[in-house]
Amino acid sequence: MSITSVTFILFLLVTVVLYYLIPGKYRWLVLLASSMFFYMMSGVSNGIYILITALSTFGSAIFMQKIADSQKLYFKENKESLTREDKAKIKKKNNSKRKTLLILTLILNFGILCVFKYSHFALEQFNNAISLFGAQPIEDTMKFIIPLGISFYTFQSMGYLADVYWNKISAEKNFLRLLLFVSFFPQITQGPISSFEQLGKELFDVHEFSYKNYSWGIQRMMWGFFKKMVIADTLSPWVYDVFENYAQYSGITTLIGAFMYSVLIYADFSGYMDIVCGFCEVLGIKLTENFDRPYFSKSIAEYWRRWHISLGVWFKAYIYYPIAVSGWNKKLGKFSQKKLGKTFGKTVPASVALVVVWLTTGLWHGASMAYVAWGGVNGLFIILSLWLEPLYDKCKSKLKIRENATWFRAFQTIRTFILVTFIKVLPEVGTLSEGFGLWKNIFTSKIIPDSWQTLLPFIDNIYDDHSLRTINVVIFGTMLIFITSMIQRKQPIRQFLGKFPLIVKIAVFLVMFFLIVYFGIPASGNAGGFMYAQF
Amino acid sequence: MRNFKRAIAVTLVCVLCAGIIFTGIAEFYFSNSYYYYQDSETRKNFAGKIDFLICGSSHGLRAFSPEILDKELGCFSYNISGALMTMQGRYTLFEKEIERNPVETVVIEVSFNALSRNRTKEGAEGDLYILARLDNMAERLQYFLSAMKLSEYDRVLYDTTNRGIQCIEWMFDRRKQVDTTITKGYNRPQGTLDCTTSADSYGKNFHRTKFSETVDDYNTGYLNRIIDICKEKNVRLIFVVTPIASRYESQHSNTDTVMAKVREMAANAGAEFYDFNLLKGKDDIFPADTAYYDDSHLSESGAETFNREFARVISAAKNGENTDEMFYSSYLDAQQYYNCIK
Amino acid sequence: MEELLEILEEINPDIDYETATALIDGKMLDSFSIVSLVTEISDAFDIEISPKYLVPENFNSVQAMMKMIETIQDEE
Repeated sequence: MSITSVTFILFLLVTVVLYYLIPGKYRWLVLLASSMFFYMMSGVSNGIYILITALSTFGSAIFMQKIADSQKLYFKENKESLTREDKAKIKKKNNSKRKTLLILTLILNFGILCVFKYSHFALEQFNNAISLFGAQPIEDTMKFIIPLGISFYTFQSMGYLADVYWNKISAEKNFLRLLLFVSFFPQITQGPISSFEQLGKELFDVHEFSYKNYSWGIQRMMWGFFKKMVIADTLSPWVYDVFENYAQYSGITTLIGAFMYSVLIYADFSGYMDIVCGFCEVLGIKLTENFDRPYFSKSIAEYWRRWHISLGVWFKAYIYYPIAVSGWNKKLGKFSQKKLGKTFGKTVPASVALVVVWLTTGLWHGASMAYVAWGGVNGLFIILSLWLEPLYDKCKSKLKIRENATWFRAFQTIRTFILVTFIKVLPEVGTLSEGFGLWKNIFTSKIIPDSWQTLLPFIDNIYDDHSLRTINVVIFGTMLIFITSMIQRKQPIRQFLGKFPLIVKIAVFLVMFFLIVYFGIPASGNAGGFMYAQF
Repeated sequence: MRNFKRAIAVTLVCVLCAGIIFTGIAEFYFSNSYYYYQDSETRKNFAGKIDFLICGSSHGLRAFSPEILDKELGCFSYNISGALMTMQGRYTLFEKEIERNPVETVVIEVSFNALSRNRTKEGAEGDLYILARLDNMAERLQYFLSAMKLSEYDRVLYDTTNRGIQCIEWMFDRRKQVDTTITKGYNRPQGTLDCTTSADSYGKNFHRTKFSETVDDYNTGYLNRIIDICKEKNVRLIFVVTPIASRYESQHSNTDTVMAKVREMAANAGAEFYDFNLLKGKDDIFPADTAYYDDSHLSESGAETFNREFARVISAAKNGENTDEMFYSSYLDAQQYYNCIK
Repeated sequence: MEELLEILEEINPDIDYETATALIDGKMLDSFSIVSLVTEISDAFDIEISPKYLVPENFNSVQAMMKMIETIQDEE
């Protein structure tokens, strides 16, 4: 079900109505039913995988909890008779049991994920490797339909399992509740990835209907639809035109394409988030945020704390820290401090962890070397900036640059935005070499545009009324995003709007709705083509 | 509860305001006749005069010119064909016109995909045009509810709004309107496509594909209803297949099979059947380089010729002449005489 | 307490640990420092700091860190 379709809106409406009709305690069952329905609409055969994940996660967690609980009880009952050594031995045995459960469940679920997402990639790499020895490449005849949301729900479920393993939370005893956590439909397709501690509370608490939640939620959804349909869906064919044909376009056109991509991906992804978060707000459920005006970041490291926040949080909690403070890494750290000196040696454990995080982040985003390289580039920038921080600080104090000076912050922001745009675009063009080709074309293309049409060749019939209007609305939309971001530095937009009388808000709503109908519906493909439009 | 009531109240106000705005815009669209297919006023004014009705899809829209037919046959004809017209659309307009006119002859244009066309796959475009051809909001609402799927509602909203705004703009910018009192439903295409081909290309593509042989109940259902009304009114019923480019037709190996089903329907209805692709000397009469607008539609000059040929054939039939001699008996036969290679 | 202060001074001598209450939230300690800190603490106090303790509240001040260390030691 496309999120911008009439059927989806109707589905949301039915869900909301049922949600508030059913008495508080059972409302989460409505959410579960909706989520199951939503998932089925994406193909019943795929539903088996999410059930496997839910069941294995549920079962493992329950067993782990049982072991932990019975250990606690045993220690309590036998407080007097057990020595320290006895306790340590029992703990060790139980921990290893729990660890085995954890590892088996991780292998099962990540295994399923890898088979679906990375089989082609793995075969490609395998073929590349064996071709070095002159062997014939194996033909790729695998045809998989990737289960909906598998990247997201797998990560979310395994996070829950790790939290239970670390005794951060206790296992959920009701399978249906865990199933809802795994399959909650607003976040299953694109996140945000939540922890059980956070989301569980929101899902199972009773929320009374509140006008503010309703109003703010709907406003947020409208904004999301505007960003996704009017801006993102309009830019999409233009950007992909540039990605395919940059070799025939001028450098400036290609550069425009790259910046359009930055706007596109932000409008698309954050628009989607606004729709799902806004909808959950109507239900009184608070989803974690994924974006915090990321293009206003002053460094790559900061950017990744403000873009796709929930993914970063997940990687930090479940990959970065466990690796950074693990036993073998500790040893490595001590070893490097001996060999490479204290200052440098100290950075090794964290750097190793960062490398792992960024390579896997790259791989998570896409099953190709281009994405792995992209992840690596991001990681490199972050590690380098951490290593060079003392050096930067020295330079800044020598040049007497004030950290908080407006011009300096502006410089950092613009520099970061440009850097982020270039890095982001690299794996999106196609192969890694195509990505580099695009970069090269920006700086070395000999083609000079001589008219608006050749400057913007990805727009058909640029002098048409329709094209001009579309360009205007995209520019307007982008400026609107910028302006709202500036307002958001001080307060939420809806609070800002709240200061105006109701009639202003209704007018804003009507304008947005009109723009979404007039520009958004055709752009999102829901209008179909018009074969006979020229009539 | 107060929260809830407030939410409902504000929502209703918003929906109402939006409704007023969009209805206003739609009114500009429906109440004007800037678009060639907005001919409901014209047809209303001709009510009681039409004795010759042509009913088809885009092939019919481009082929039948009532201006010429009226001169050739001495009738008062009207062409209610439409682009991408669905069978439901055809039936809806047909039923209305035959009720209010003394129709003596009905021509049903059928093509290779008349029976196989799938409404779900083809989408709403054809039905969107019908909405604008109906007389009033009540009829439009009825057609909208019966023909449009839920998932297409946003498309209808967009299309109506888009055209409404266009109409508002055209009010201030004098546009050359099509005079539907003269064209009477015919829409002349802009341009011609040279549909000749090379011997190499012709050979390579010959019989390399097939037309869909599906017979969709939706299509036969409405077609049969049209036939039933014709029988009831005792009109002369004529099935016609308009010419398509020979280089295009020859790519398909199963045209005979597909058209056989239509022939069968015509035979069961006691109707005449003329397939102008089988017309002897077709490629001399409709030269491949000038007679077509695209591979399956006639150009303006092609249509001119076609109307005269068509008039000739049905007049001969009316006079009791044997028209079978004018046509080949099958596509397999006719293909031997195709002359579209340059 | 002494031992902990020693470790902290080594990692970043510029901070006044007696009064600081936002070491993490105020970004006074960077990622490298936090990782070193965790490793040094677990060595010095012979404890295993499970990831469940790796939350800002436990590291924002010396007092919070001591409390965390004591809690872990009690568990063992």
